[in-house]
Amino acid sequence: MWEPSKMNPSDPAQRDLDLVRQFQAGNEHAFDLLVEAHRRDVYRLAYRLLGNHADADDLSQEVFLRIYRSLVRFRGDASLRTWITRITLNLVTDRRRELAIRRQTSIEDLPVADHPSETGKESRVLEEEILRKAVRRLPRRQRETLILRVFQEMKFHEIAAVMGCTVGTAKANFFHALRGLRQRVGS
Amino acid sequence: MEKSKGFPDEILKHLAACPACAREGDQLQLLLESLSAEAVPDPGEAYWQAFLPRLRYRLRVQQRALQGRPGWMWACSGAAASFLLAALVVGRWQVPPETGAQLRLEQVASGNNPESLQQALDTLLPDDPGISLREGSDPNALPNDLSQALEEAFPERETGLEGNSPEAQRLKEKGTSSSLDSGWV
Repeated sequence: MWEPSKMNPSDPAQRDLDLVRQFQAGNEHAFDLLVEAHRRDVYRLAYRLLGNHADADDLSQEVFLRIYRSLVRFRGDASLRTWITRITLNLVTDRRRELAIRRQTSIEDLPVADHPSETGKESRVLEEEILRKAVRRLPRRQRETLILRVFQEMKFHEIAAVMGCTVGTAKANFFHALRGLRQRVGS
Repeated sequence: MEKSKGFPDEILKHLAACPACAREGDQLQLLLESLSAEAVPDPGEAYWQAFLPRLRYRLRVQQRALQGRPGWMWACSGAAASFLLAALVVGRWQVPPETGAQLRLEQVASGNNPESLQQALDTLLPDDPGISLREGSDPNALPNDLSQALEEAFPERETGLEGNSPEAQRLKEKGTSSSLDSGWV
Protein backbone atom coordinates (compact mmCIF):
# COMPACT_ATOMS: atom_id res chain seq x y z
CA MET A 1 0.00 0.00 0.00
CA TRP A 2 0.84 3.64 -0.03
CA GLU A 3 3.97 4.62 1.86
CA PRO A 4 4.71 8.35 1.63
CA SER A 5 8.00 7.94 3.40
CA LYS A 6 9.38 6.00 0.45
CA MET A 7 8.54 8.75 -2.01
CA ASN A 8 11.21 11.06 -3.27
CA PRO A 9 9.91 14.65 -3.12
CA SER A 10 13.03 16.06 -4.79
CA ASP A 11 12.26 14.31 -8.07
CA PRO A 12 8.82 15.42 -9.25
CA ALA A 13 8.70 12.86 -12.07
CA GLN A 14 9.46 9.98 -9.71
CA ARG A 15 7.02 11.37 -7.15
CA ASP A 16 4.32 11.47 -9.83
CA LEU A 17 5.05 7.95 -10.90
CA ASP A 18 4.87 6.71 -7.31
CA LEU A 19 1.53 8.42 -6.84
CA VAL A 20 0.22 6.96 -10.06
CA ARG A 21 1.20 3.48 -8.98
CA GLN A 22 -0.45 4.02 -5.62
CA PHE A 23 -3.62 5.21 -7.31
CA GLN A 24 -3.59 2.23 -9.63
CA ALA A 25 -3.28 0.03 -6.56
CA GLY A 26 -6.49 1.52 -5.20
CA ASN A 27 -5.33 4.45 -3.09
CA GLU A 28 -7.72 7.32 -3.89
CA HIS A 29 -5.75 9.77 -1.76
CA ALA A 30 -2.86 9.50 -4.19
CA PHE A 31 -5.05 11.17 -6.78
CA ASP A 32 -5.67 14.10 -4.44
CA LEU A 33 -1.93 14.58 -4.09
CA LEU A 34 -1.51 14.52 -7.86
CA VAL A 35 -4.18 17.16 -8.22
CA GLU A 36 -2.49 19.35 -5.64
CA ALA A 37 0.83 18.96 -7.41
CA HIS A 38 -0.40 19.89 -10.88
CA ARG A 39 -3.52 22.02 -10.54
CA ARG A 40 -1.73 25.37 -10.71
CA ASP A 41 0.21 24.44 -13.85
CA VAL A 42 -2.95 23.19 -15.52
CA TYR A 43 -4.87 26.31 -14.56
CA ARG A 44 -2.13 28.66 -15.76
CA LEU A 45 -1.80 26.87 -19.08
CA ALA A 46 -5.55 26.87 -19.58
CA TYR A 47 -5.70 30.55 -18.70
CA ARG A 48 -2.92 31.41 -21.13
CA LEU A 49 -4.68 29.56 -23.90
CA LEU A 50 -8.28 30.51 -23.14
CA GLY A 51 -7.75 33.98 -21.74
CA ASN A 52 -10.25 34.10 -18.90
CA HIS A 53 -10.76 32.66 -15.45
CA ALA A 54 -14.16 31.00 -16.00
CA ASP A 55 -13.04 28.92 -18.94
CA ALA A 56 -9.67 28.16 -17.37
CA ASP A 57 -11.35 27.00 -14.17
CA ASP A 58 -13.89 24.81 -15.92
CA LEU A 59 -11.27 23.33 -18.19
CA SER A 60 -8.90 22.63 -15.30
CA GLN A 61 -11.59 20.60 -13.59
CA GLU A 62 -12.33 18.80 -16.83
CA VAL A 63 -8.65 17.94 -17.23
CA PHE A 64 -8.52 16.25 -13.84
CA LEU A 65 -11.78 14.44 -14.45
CA ARG A 66 -10.27 13.07 -17.64
CA ILE A 67 -7.08 12.15 -15.78
CA TYR A 68 -9.04 10.35 -13.08
CA ARG A 69 -10.82 8.22 -15.66
CA SER A 70 -7.64 7.43 -17.61
CA LEU A 71 -5.04 7.14 -14.89
CA VAL A 72 -5.53 3.41 -14.44
CA ARG A 73 -4.25 2.96 -18.00
CA PHE A 74 -1.25 5.29 -17.61
CA ARG A 75 1.86 3.22 -18.26
CA GLY A 76 4.52 5.83 -17.68
CA ASP A 77 5.92 5.89 -21.22
CA ALA A 78 6.00 9.68 -20.98
CA SER A 79 6.21 11.73 -17.81
CA LEU A 80 2.95 12.51 -16.07
CA ARG A 81 3.54 16.21 -16.63
CA THR A 82 3.84 15.65 -20.37
CA TRP A 83 0.71 13.51 -20.33
CA ILE A 84 -1.29 16.09 -18.39
CA THR A 85 -0.11 18.90 -20.65
CA ARG A 86 -1.16 16.95 -23.71
CA ILE A 87 -4.61 16.35 -22.23
CA THR A 88 -4.89 20.04 -21.41
CA LEU A 89 -3.92 21.11 -24.92
CA ASN A 90 -6.40 18.68 -26.47
CA LEU A 91 -9.22 19.90 -24.27
CA VAL A 92 -8.30 23.52 -24.90
CA THR A 93 -8.42 22.92 -28.63
CA ASP A 94 -11.86 21.34 -28.29
CA ARG A 95 -13.04 24.16 -26.05
CA ARG A 96 -11.85 26.90 -28.36
CA ARG A 97 -13.60 25.20 -31.24
CA GLU A 98 -16.83 25.00 -29.25
CA LEU A 99 -16.55 28.60 -28.16
CA ALA A 100 -15.86 29.79 -31.68
CA ILE A 101 -18.93 27.94 -32.97
CA ARG A 102 -21.13 29.10 -30.11
CA ARG A 103 -20.15 32.72 -30.44
CA GLN A 104 -20.07 32.59 -34.21
CA THR A 105 -16.68 34.22 -34.20
CA SER A 106 -13.30 33.12 -35.36
CA ILE A 107 -10.94 31.58 -32.86
CA GLU A 108 -8.67 34.59 -33.06
CA ASP A 109 -11.47 36.88 -31.90
CA LEU A 110 -11.96 35.16 -28.58
CA PRO A 111 -11.98 37.57 -25.67
CA VAL A 112 -8.77 38.38 -23.91
CA ALA A 113 -8.11 38.05 -20.20
CA ASP A 114 -10.85 39.30 -17.90
CA HIS A 115 -8.44 40.07 -15.10
CA PRO A 116 -7.00 43.53 -15.65
CA SER A 117 -3.34 44.01 -15.09
CA GLU A 118 -2.48 45.30 -11.65
CA THR A 119 0.42 47.51 -12.70
CA GLY A 120 -1.76 50.56 -12.72
CA LYS A 121 -0.04 52.07 -15.70
CA GLU A 122 -2.15 52.57 -18.79
CA SER A 123 0.74 52.10 -21.17
CA ARG A 124 1.72 48.85 -19.57
CA VAL A 125 -1.87 47.60 -19.73
CA LEU A 126 -2.04 48.53 -23.37
CA GLU A 127 1.26 46.82 -24.10
CA GLU A 128 0.12 43.62 -22.41
CA GLU A 129 -3.15 43.77 -24.25
CA ILE A 130 -1.34 44.04 -27.57
CA LEU A 131 0.91 41.15 -26.66
CA ARG A 132 -1.98 38.95 -25.62
CA LYS A 133 -3.79 39.61 -28.85
CA ALA A 134 -0.65 39.00 -30.86
CA VAL A 135 -0.09 35.67 -29.13
CA ARG A 136 -3.67 34.64 -29.77
CA ARG A 137 -3.32 35.42 -33.45
CA LEU A 138 -0.38 33.09 -33.88
CA PRO A 139 -1.02 29.76 -35.60
CA ARG A 140 -2.18 27.20 -33.07
CA ARG A 141 0.93 25.03 -32.88
CA GLN A 142 3.23 28.04 -32.75
CA ARG A 143 1.10 29.59 -30.03
CA GLU A 144 1.07 26.40 -27.97
CA THR A 145 4.80 25.90 -28.39
CA LEU A 146 5.50 29.48 -27.34
CA ILE A 147 3.33 29.21 -24.25
CA LEU A 148 4.78 25.86 -23.21
CA ARG A 149 8.29 27.17 -23.64
CA VAL A 150 7.98 30.63 -22.15
CA PHE A 151 5.27 30.29 -19.55
CA GLN A 152 5.36 26.64 -18.60
CA GLU A 153 9.14 26.60 -18.93
CA MET A 154 9.15 23.22 -20.61
CA LYS A 155 12.21 21.91 -22.41
CA PHE A 156 12.06 21.37 -26.15
CA HIS A 157 12.08 17.60 -25.84
CA GLU A 158 9.14 17.84 -23.45
CA ILE A 159 7.32 20.12 -25.85
CA ALA A 160 8.01 17.69 -28.67
CA ALA A 161 6.53 14.88 -26.60
CA VAL A 162 3.46 16.94 -25.79
CA MET A 163 2.92 18.13 -29.35
CA GLY A 164 3.72 14.82 -30.94
CA CYS A 165 6.49 16.20 -33.13
CA THR A 166 10.28 16.15 -33.34
CA VAL A 167 12.48 18.36 -31.22
CA GLY A 168 13.54 20.20 -34.37
CA THR A 169 9.95 20.95 -35.26
CA ALA A 170 9.29 22.21 -31.75
CA LYS A 171 12.28 24.57 -32.00
CA ALA A 172 11.20 25.75 -35.44
CA ASN A 173 7.68 26.40 -34.18
CA PHE A 174 9.08 28.38 -31.29
CA PHE A 175 11.23 30.64 -33.42
CA HIS A 176 8.52 31.10 -36.03
CA ALA A 177 6.25 32.12 -33.17
CA LEU A 178 8.76 34.66 -31.87
CA ARG A 179 9.33 36.08 -35.31
CA GLY A 180 5.61 36.31 -36.02
CA LEU A 181 5.04 37.93 -32.68
CA ARG A 182 7.66 40.54 -33.29
CA GLN A 183 6.17 41.38 -36.65
CA ARG A 184 2.75 41.81 -35.11
CA VAL A 185 3.72 43.99 -32.16
CA GLY A 186 6.51 45.85 -33.95
CA SER A 187 10.01 46.29 -32.74
CA MET B 1 24.03 38.84 -24.31
CA GLU B 2 23.05 36.60 -21.43
CA LYS B 3 21.90 33.10 -22.00
CA SER B 4 18.14 33.28 -22.00
CA LYS B 5 15.60 30.58 -21.60
CA GLY B 6 14.36 31.09 -25.13
CA PHE B 7 17.57 30.35 -27.03
CA PRO B 8 19.46 27.12 -27.40
CA ASP B 9 23.24 27.03 -27.18
CA GLU B 10 23.86 26.91 -30.92
CA ILE B 11 21.94 30.14 -31.39
CA LEU B 12 23.83 31.81 -28.59
CA LYS B 13 27.15 30.91 -30.19
CA HIS B 14 26.05 32.44 -33.45
CA LEU B 15 24.71 35.56 -31.74
CA ALA B 16 28.09 36.11 -30.15
CA ALA B 17 29.77 36.27 -33.58
CA CYS B 18 27.09 38.06 -35.65
CA PRO B 19 26.14 41.66 -34.72
CA ALA B 20 23.04 41.77 -36.95
CA CYS B 21 21.61 38.62 -35.48
CA ALA B 22 22.63 39.77 -32.01
CA ARG B 23 20.56 42.94 -32.48
CA GLU B 24 17.57 40.90 -33.56
CA GLY B 25 18.22 38.54 -30.69
CA ASP B 26 18.09 41.43 -28.26
CA GLN B 27 14.72 42.44 -29.63
CA LEU B 28 13.45 38.90 -29.28
CA GLN B 29 14.83 38.81 -25.77
CA LEU B 30 12.87 41.94 -24.90
CA LEU B 31 9.81 40.36 -26.35
CA LEU B 32 10.31 37.23 -24.30
CA GLU B 33 10.75 39.26 -21.16
CA SER B 34 7.55 41.13 -21.92
CA LEU B 35 5.75 37.86 -22.36
CA SER B 36 7.23 36.35 -19.23
CA ALA B 37 6.27 39.37 -17.21
CA GLU B 38 2.66 38.86 -18.05
CA ALA B 39 1.58 36.83 -15.08
CA VAL B 40 -1.61 34.91 -14.83
CA PRO B 41 -3.65 36.46 -12.05
CA ASP B 42 -3.88 34.12 -9.12
CA PRO B 43 -7.50 33.28 -8.39
CA GLY B 44 -6.83 33.29 -4.64
CA GLU B 45 -6.31 30.81 -1.86
CA ALA B 46 -10.03 30.24 -1.37
CA TYR B 47 -10.25 29.08 -4.97
CA TRP B 48 -7.42 26.59 -4.53
CA GLN B 49 -8.87 25.28 -1.30
CA ALA B 50 -12.19 24.64 -3.02
CA PHE B 51 -10.61 23.14 -6.13
CA LEU B 52 -10.25 19.56 -4.90
CA PRO B 53 -13.63 19.36 -3.10
CA ARG B 54 -15.34 20.64 -6.27
CA LEU B 55 -13.47 18.07 -8.33
CA ARG B 56 -14.43 15.28 -5.94
CA TYR B 57 -18.05 16.41 -6.11
CA ARG B 58 -18.03 16.29 -9.92
CA LEU B 59 -16.43 12.85 -9.82
CA ARG B 60 -19.18 11.59 -7.50
CA VAL B 61 -21.84 13.05 -9.78
CA GLN B 62 -20.29 11.35 -12.79
CA GLN B 63 -20.00 8.02 -11.02
CA ARG B 64 -23.60 8.22 -9.79
CA ALA B 65 -24.73 8.96 -13.32
CA LEU B 66 -22.93 5.85 -14.52
CA GLN B 67 -23.96 3.55 -11.68
CA GLY B 68 -27.17 5.09 -10.46
CA ARG B 69 -29.68 3.55 -12.82
CA PRO B 70 -32.44 2.02 -10.66
CA GLY B 71 -33.07 -1.71 -10.79
CA TRP B 72 -36.48 -1.42 -12.38
CA MET B 73 -34.94 0.36 -15.37
CA TRP B 74 -32.58 -2.56 -15.93
CA ALA B 75 -35.48 -5.01 -15.49
CA CYS B 76 -37.65 -3.16 -18.02
CA SER B 77 -34.80 -2.94 -20.46
CA GLY B 78 -34.13 -6.66 -20.10
CA ALA B 79 -37.79 -7.58 -20.55
CA ALA B 80 -38.10 -5.41 -23.63
CA ALA B 81 -34.96 -6.90 -25.10
CA SER B 82 -36.17 -10.45 -24.41
CA PHE B 83 -39.56 -9.71 -25.98
CA LEU B 84 -37.97 -8.27 -29.10
CA LEU B 85 -35.61 -11.21 -29.37
CA ALA B 86 -38.46 -13.72 -28.98
CA ALA B 87 -40.57 -11.87 -31.55
CA LEU B 88 -37.66 -11.92 -33.94
CA VAL B 89 -37.07 -15.66 -33.51
CA VAL B 90 -40.79 -16.63 -33.74
CA GLY B 91 -41.36 -14.33 -36.68
CA ARG B 92 -38.46 -15.89 -38.49
CA TRP B 93 -39.29 -19.57 -37.95
CA GLN B 94 -43.08 -19.58 -37.83
CA VAL B 95 -44.35 -18.34 -41.14
CA PRO B 96 -48.19 -18.19 -41.35
CA PRO B 97 -49.66 -21.01 -43.55
CA GLU B 98 -51.10 -18.60 -46.07
CA THR B 99 -47.82 -16.83 -46.42
CA GLY B 100 -46.04 -20.15 -46.84
CA ALA B 101 -48.50 -21.19 -49.54
CA GLN B 102 -47.97 -17.94 -51.37
CA LEU B 103 -44.27 -18.51 -51.17
CA ARG B 104 -44.67 -22.03 -52.60
CA LEU B 105 -46.74 -20.65 -55.45
CA GLU B 106 -43.95 -18.24 -56.18
CA GLN B 107 -41.48 -21.12 -56.08
CA VAL B 108 -43.63 -23.04 -58.53
CA ALA B 109 -43.84 -20.03 -60.79
CA SER B 110 -40.08 -19.84 -60.87
CA GLY B 111 -39.07 -23.48 -60.50
CA ASN B 112 -42.11 -25.44 -61.78
CA ASN B 113 -42.30 -27.75 -58.76
CA PRO B 114 -45.66 -29.54 -58.88
CA GLU B 115 -45.22 -31.03 -55.41
CA SER B 116 -44.94 -27.55 -53.97
CA LEU B 117 -47.87 -26.43 -56.06
CA GLN B 118 -50.01 -29.24 -54.68
CA GLN B 119 -49.08 -28.28 -51.14
CA ALA B 120 -49.82 -24.66 -51.87
CA LEU B 121 -53.21 -25.49 -53.31
CA ASP B 122 -54.03 -27.77 -50.39
CA THR B 123 -53.27 -24.94 -48.03
CA LEU B 124 -55.03 -22.20 -49.91
CA LEU B 125 -58.07 -24.32 -50.91
CA PRO B 126 -58.47 -26.84 -48.12
CA ASP B 127 -62.18 -27.64 -48.86
CA ASP B 128 -61.78 -28.41 -52.57
CA PRO B 129 -60.90 -32.10 -52.94
CA GLY B 130 -61.29 -32.09 -56.71
CA ILE B 131 -58.03 -30.35 -57.47
CA SER B 132 -55.17 -32.74 -57.83
CA LEU B 133 -52.01 -32.43 -59.83
CA ARG B 134 -50.37 -35.66 -58.78
CA GLU B 135 -48.99 -37.57 -61.72
CA GLY B 136 -50.78 -40.82 -62.53
CA SER B 137 -53.80 -40.03 -60.43
CA ASP B 138 -57.20 -41.07 -61.80
CA PRO B 139 -59.62 -38.14 -61.72
CA ASN B 140 -62.56 -40.60 -61.65
CA ALA B 141 -61.20 -42.68 -58.80
CA LEU B 142 -62.76 -42.34 -55.41
CA PRO B 143 -60.64 -41.05 -52.60
CA ASN B 144 -59.05 -43.92 -50.74
CA ASP B 145 -60.90 -43.20 -47.55
CA LEU B 146 -64.43 -43.01 -49.06
CA SER B 147 -65.30 -46.66 -48.53
CA GLN B 148 -64.09 -46.44 -44.98
CA ALA B 149 -66.28 -43.42 -44.43
CA LEU B 150 -69.28 -45.22 -45.81
CA GLU B 151 -68.64 -48.18 -43.58
CA GLU B 152 -68.49 -45.93 -40.58
CA ALA B 153 -71.67 -44.10 -41.55
CA PHE B 154 -73.58 -47.31 -42.36
CA PRO B 155 -72.34 -50.19 -40.25
CA GLU B 156 -73.26 -53.78 -41.22
CA ARG B 157 -75.53 -54.21 -38.26
CA GLU B 158 -77.95 -51.61 -39.53
CA THR B 159 -77.82 -52.27 -43.24
CA GLY B 160 -77.72 -55.99 -42.99
CA LEU B 161 -76.17 -56.17 -46.45
CA GLU B 162 -73.15 -58.15 -45.36
CA GLY B 163 -72.45 -60.63 -42.63
CA ASN B 164 -74.26 -63.75 -41.53
CA SER B 165 -77.79 -62.46 -41.13
CA PRO B 166 -80.57 -64.50 -42.78
CA GLU B 167 -81.25 -61.68 -45.19
CA ALA B 168 -77.69 -61.63 -46.29
CA GLN B 169 -77.51 -65.31 -46.70
CA ARG B 170 -80.58 -65.16 -48.86
CA LEU B 171 -79.14 -62.45 -51.06
CA LYS B 172 -75.87 -64.31 -51.43
CA GLU B 173 -77.67 -67.37 -52.55
CA LYS B 174 -79.41 -65.31 -55.20
CA GLY B 175 -76.07 -63.89 -56.30
CA THR B 176 -77.18 -60.28 -55.97
CA SER B 177 -74.78 -59.14 -53.31
CA SER B 178 -72.31 -57.75 -55.80
CA SER B 179 -74.97 -55.74 -57.52
CA LEU B 180 -76.15 -54.46 -54.20
CA ASP B 181 -72.61 -53.52 -53.23
CA SER B 182 -72.19 -51.65 -56.41
CA GLY B 183 -75.59 -50.07 -55.97
CA TRP B 184 -74.27 -47.96 -53.12
CA VAL B 185 -72.02 -46.16 -55.36
